[in-house]
Parts: sequence; C-alpha cells; structure tokens
Amino acid sequence: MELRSHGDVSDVNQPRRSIMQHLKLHRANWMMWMLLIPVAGWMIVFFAFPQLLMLFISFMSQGEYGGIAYQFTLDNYIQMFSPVFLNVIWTSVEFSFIVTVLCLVVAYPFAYAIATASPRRRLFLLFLVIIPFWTSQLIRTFALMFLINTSGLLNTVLLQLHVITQPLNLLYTPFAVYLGQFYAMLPYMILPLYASIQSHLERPEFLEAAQDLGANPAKAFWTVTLPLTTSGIAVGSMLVFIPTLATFFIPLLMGGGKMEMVGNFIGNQFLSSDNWPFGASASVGVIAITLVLIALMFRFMKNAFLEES
Amino acid sequence: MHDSIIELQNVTKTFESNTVVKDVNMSIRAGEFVTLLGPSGSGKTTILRMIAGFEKPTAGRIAISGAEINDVPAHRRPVNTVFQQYALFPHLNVFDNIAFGLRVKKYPRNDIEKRVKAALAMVRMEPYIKAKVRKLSGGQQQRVAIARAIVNEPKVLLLDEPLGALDMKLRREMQLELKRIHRDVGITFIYVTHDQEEAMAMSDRVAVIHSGHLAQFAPPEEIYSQPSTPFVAGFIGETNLIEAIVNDGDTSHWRLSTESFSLTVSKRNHDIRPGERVTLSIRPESMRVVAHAQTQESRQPVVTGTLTERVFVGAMVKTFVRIGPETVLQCLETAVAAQGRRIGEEVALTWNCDHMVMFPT
Repeated sequence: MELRSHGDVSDVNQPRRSIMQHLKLHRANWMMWMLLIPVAGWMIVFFAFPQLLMLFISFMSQGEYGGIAYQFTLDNYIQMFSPVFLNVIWTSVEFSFIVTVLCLVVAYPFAYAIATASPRRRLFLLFLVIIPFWTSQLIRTFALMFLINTSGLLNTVLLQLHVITQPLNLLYTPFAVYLGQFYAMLPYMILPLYASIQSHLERPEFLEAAQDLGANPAKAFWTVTLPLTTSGIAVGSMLVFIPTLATFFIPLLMGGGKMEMVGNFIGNQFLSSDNWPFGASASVGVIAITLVLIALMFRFMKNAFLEES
Repeated sequence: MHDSIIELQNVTKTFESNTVVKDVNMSIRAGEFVTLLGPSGSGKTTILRMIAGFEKPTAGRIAISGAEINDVPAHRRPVNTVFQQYALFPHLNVFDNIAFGLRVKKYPRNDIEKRVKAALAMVRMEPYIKAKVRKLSGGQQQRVAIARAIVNEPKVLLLDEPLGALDMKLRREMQLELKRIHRDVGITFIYVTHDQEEAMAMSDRVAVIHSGHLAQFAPPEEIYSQPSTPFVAGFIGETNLIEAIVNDGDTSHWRLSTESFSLTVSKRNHDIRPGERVTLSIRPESMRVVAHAQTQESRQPVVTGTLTERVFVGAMVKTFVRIGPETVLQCLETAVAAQGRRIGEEVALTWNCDHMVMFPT
C-alpha cells in the first residue's frame, strides 16, 4: 500500500482506459464483419467459387464425347491464339470501342444539358434517363426489334410517308447490333458524365478564368471543361466498354447470330460445341483483357481523378 | 476626363428584385491603384465582375479607354482578373497555367516561353515553373494567379480579395509584393477588399461602397480626415459618433447640445441652422484626457465622465470614458500620458474642434 504513489495511480488508470477503448474498437470491428458476412458469403458462393471453377476447367481437356476430362493441359490457352478466336476477340474489341465512342459523343451534350437545366427540367430529364432501368434489358431489346423489323413501326411510317418504297432491311444487320448495344448502354454513359459535369459547373471560377484569359466559350470548353470532366468520361467509358465486350444476347437477337462477339463464342462453346475447357479459357482470357484495359485506363486517368477531387 | 481608363456612369445592377449596385459613378485614371472597400454584401465584388464582364449592368454604362464595353463579352475585354480562390487550372502545371492566355491569343511558342519566364520572375516563382498547382501553398498559388493575369499585359488588373485566404503574416508580405508589382508593371489595379487597413495601406484612392452606393471616392488620407458620411467615418478607422442638436449662436459661433454636454463651434467651418440635428465624429486620437482643474481653455469642449476601461494597444493606450447612460467615448493616448490613471476615476475629455467632422443627420 505504501508503494502507491501518484505515479502508480495514473499507471493503473491508464491501461484500464485503453482496454475499454480497445473493447469498443473491437466491438465496432466485429459488428462490421457481421454486416459484411451476407454479402461476402454471396460473393464467395456465387462469384468467386464459379470463377475458380472456370479457372480450373480451363486447364482440363475436352472429353472424347464432349464434357470434361480431368487431365491437365495448356491446349485451351494455345487454342486462343488461333486466327478464328483472335478474329472474334478483335471484332468484339472494335465493336466495344465504337459503341463506347458513340455513347460518349451522344451522351456528353445530353449530360451537359441536364447539368445546366433548371431544377424542374433537370428532374424530368434524369427521369427519362432512369426509365429504361424499370424494364428488363431483354424486353427492351425485343421492343427495339419490333420497332425496326421489316413490318415494324419505323418501316410502316416511312412507307406511309413515301420516304421509301421498299421496307428497309435493318434487323439482323451489324447496324441493328450497334443500335441495340448503343441504346442499352447510353444511360450508363449519361449518369457519370452528368455527375462530373454538374460538379464542374458548381465551381464556375475555372470557366470564368478561361474567359477572362481570352478563351471564347468553345475554346473554354475544350481547354477547361473537357479536361476537368475526365473522371466522368473514364467512369462512363468503363461502364459501357466492359459489358459491351461481354455482350451476348443483343448480337444474337438483333444480329441474328451473324455477328459473332466473344460473348457468343464462349456461349457456343458451352451450349452447342460442348467444349467447356475452351469456353472456360476464353472467358478467363476476356477477364484478363478487361483487367488490362481497366488498369491502363486508371493509369491514364489517375492524374485527372486526383486533380478533380 | 481624357486620362481616365475606366469610366462607370450611373451603373446599377439588380439581381431579380434585389438591387446590389445603385447608380455608381467612378472615373479611374490610368496607372492608379484603386481599392473598392466595403463590408461583405456591399456590392463591391459585383462592380468588379461587371468590369471583368461576368455580370452585365442592369442600367448605366461602363467604358474602357473611352469605348463602351457593356456588350463586349469577358473574353474580348482588355482586363484580367486575379480570383479570390485563385482559380488556377488544376489539370495544368504552373507554366501551362500562365501560358494559357498567350496560347489562346496564338503567340509564337518561343515568345510565350520568354513572357511566362518574365512573369514568373516578376512574382519570384521561377523555381516552380514545372510544378503542379495543387502542390503549391496558398501564397505560391496567389503569386501564380497574379503572373497568369499580368502576363497578358492587360490595361487593367482586377483583384477580387486576392489575399483573403492567406494568414496575417503572409498577407502583409503580399501587400508589399503587390505594391511593388503595381509599380513595376505600371498598369491600373482595381482591388476589392473588406479590410480597411489593407485599403489604406495600398491604394492611391479608395472607393468606399456602402450597400450598393459609392459613399466616397478619395485618397486614403482624405477618407480618413474628411469622411463624407458617418458610415465612412466608422468603417475607416475608429471614431466616436455623437448625436447633437444645433441650438443658437452668437456672431461667430454655433452652440450645440448633446445628451450629456454642450459645445460651441466656429460658424466659418460649418454650414448649419438652428434646430438641425447633426452627428459629430471625433477620432480617438484627437481626444485628450485632462485633469478637472485645467479645463477652462478658450472654446474647446469639455466633457466629464468616469474612466471605465483601459486597453493597451502597443505603445498606445485606449481609454474608455462613460459620459452618459448610453455614451462611452474612447480616447487614444500614449502609454506615458495615460500613466497613473485608474478605472473608476472621474476624468475630463477635451478635443480640438478643427479635427471634428460634422454630418447632417
């Protein structure tokens, strides 16, 4: 008892307090993990596990009568360098690139119009962008087919107005595939662009500074607004490019299977050719291409993200 | 006014139903350093933005070098602005920020480089030519913003509270820098601030803006010694404002009375009528505290009261004297003169009426 000086008292209190803090901290951590379990569980069971399975199958051989023979091989990966498959990949990348650029060119002015509209009008325009999300992509694609087929609304109207004498063969052409994909992807480009342009316009001093230094509105747009909305362009482009690279039923329905994308190719390996190992290696390949493109995009856009924030 | 570079005639600006600038007339001479001074919301920034071309006057006329510019868009005006938050382009480095205006005007490449380097030297930022703007401190960004504006050799440089975001020490430093830059480049500066000390320290002339009106436009000394309204007197430096009424007079003097004392003023200096209400403004440094005994000195007013507070401000002492239930006057004395006085003591105040300003109420 005599040993208990003032110093001892504080020494006793000090760790006690920190233990309490420690417990509190741990409880918060524990709660956080609890909340994460359902999502994490879902992702592990339905995403990570199938992907690992795919990776595993991609190194297996095709069975003599289809199916999987559990024999290690690299053939599926070597097969990816065959001209047939490279051609499919190239078609998909080119298609995705063109669709992304089309979306960007159309979405930017629209997003700009939303950002500069009066609050009432802005709400209405955003509503228009969001409406498509209320219906399934598949149903909207059918609706679009119905609009452009030879006896569809578009041809009927044009014939009635005597703009054309023969119905236009639009459906089951590459044009239809582009149209379908562009239509499906447009909202994913508009929304991030709108967010980016909106926050840029909330700080009008950059545009004012450009004007002040002699830039007319067009020049100010190219030299200031466009570079300062790079993050929106990057996010929108990724949201359009990646799903388009893996698009499956739009080329099938709108193109009648004549335009083969890598998505269709992989589907065929599983569904008709019964070559699961090659289908698996092809999908691993697409994921790899996507990851490389995302990494490149991030590297390219890194400074833009830092500067805008 | 053939030598005026900027001319504002009856300029009025209304936002929706709110008139923020009312019938302002100003003529600014080439090479002048003019400050628009006023409390926040007084309309001073709106005046600057109208000169820059970011706002259009609702009524009136703005001219640069004699030519009306009301309908000239901002990008074609021969003026440049230093913005309050600098507004440096975050996606460009220091060099590209400063070169922006020259590139827009399609200057040759090596000419641009020469001019940018000269502008950087002017603001003493040469080592940062390739720096990212977001890596610069506030003071450095400020210097780049000034370089970006002056590199275009505008006829007029507009500065919108450019030192507002800096700490006190840096502010003082940049004030001197700006004065030097003004001297070196010799162009007209129009400077907006709410800091009256800054305005007094830097300007050739100060325009005091009070709720949209131009209250007074004169050199700092004149604004201080002959303020045009009680607002100006109170806003620039400290002053004692006392309500008074004119009673009567003899051949040479008027007699005035206030709530707690009366005084006489010479008829020569003041054009007033019996019965008129006036406001007197006496600067604290014009007042003297005197002993009761020695107060019968010619025509100088004498007021007695209780010393309520003493505050040291460096070499000076601020003495507060309560002379009535509602009225406390302050007097600025040297620390030596104020020595030995105690709070609660009865004292008398006197002042020279030549240093007193009178406003009609």
